Amino acid sequence: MWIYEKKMEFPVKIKKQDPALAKLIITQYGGPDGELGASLRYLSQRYSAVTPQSKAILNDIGTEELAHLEMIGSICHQLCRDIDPEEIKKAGFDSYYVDHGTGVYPSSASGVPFTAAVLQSKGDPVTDLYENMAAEQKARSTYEYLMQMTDDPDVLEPLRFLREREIVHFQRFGEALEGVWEYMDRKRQFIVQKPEGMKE
Amino acid sequence: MNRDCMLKRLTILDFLAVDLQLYLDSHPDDENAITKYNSVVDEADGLRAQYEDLYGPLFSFRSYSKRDEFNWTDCPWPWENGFNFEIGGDE
Amino acid sequence: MACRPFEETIHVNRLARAYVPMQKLCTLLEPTQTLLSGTVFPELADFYK
Repeated sequence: MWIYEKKMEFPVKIKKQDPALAKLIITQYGGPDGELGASLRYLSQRYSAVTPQSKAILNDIGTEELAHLEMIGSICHQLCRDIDPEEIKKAGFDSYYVDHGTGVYPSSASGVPFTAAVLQSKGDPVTDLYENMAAEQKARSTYEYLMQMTDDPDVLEPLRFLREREIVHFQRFGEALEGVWEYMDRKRQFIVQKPEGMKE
Repeated sequence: MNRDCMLKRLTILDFLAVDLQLYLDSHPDDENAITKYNSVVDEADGLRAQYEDLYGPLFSFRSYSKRDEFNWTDCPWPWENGFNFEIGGDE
Repeated sequence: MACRPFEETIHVNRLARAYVPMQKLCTLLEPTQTLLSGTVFPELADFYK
């Protein structure tokens, strides 16, 4: 089950408003390679995992992704705090604003609402781990593109942290795959008794 | 230690525990890592107890609450600017 | 001998499989560096610079 700890995994303390940036960063909240997709993907896949290590990794990384979701939501929320209504249109934030105000809504940077179509839970332990490795790389690239979109250190620090986490997660899923190969190979071992009298 | 300092140390320790746990998930026999993990959790536990004593409950459905006031609802919440410490300028 | 933080030999016994080298614990970053690095493992930090 999940317990909430009332603190952030990494602090989010934004001083400068920037709704145009929020419109981009929201993509890591509800977009194709974002943290909501990641947590749902891993937490859904854990039911059909086969090795104890991969069950643990799916569970734990899925849980950590929820903490990352919280960070992204906080960034978007703080970037839009007390914004001047004149800024909204200038920032290209108006189309999001009319549907959601300055609230946080799971969608991509181009306004596509979150959908489970961004993730897969194939029920096949090998397929699922490959899916996850690809997902971590897509997320890493997205953070890199987002980091190109701002100079604000208050935003860059959490983004840099999140990008690094994707690299570590990729490594862990790759290691889980190793255990799954061993499991698959073990399952297919056929032991045949050598008949008596058979020459070497 | 003031609140920001304590929260920063706790955040660091809990993050060490997360990264070490993920490592241990795929290396469950690594005794060095287990020792390090346990020592981090131990220090974090102690600091967490101090923090909760001074600044209020941290866990939903788990932390103790004072008899005369229910601090869980206190603001700011973690997604608000005022809750967080400055990360920059590390030693 | 210097500690290399990954396995250097991977046993391959069939095609159509991807392999990621297992990490080995060598050193850890100082606690104060870990949040800004995003990890406690130096070999995983500063990746793809």
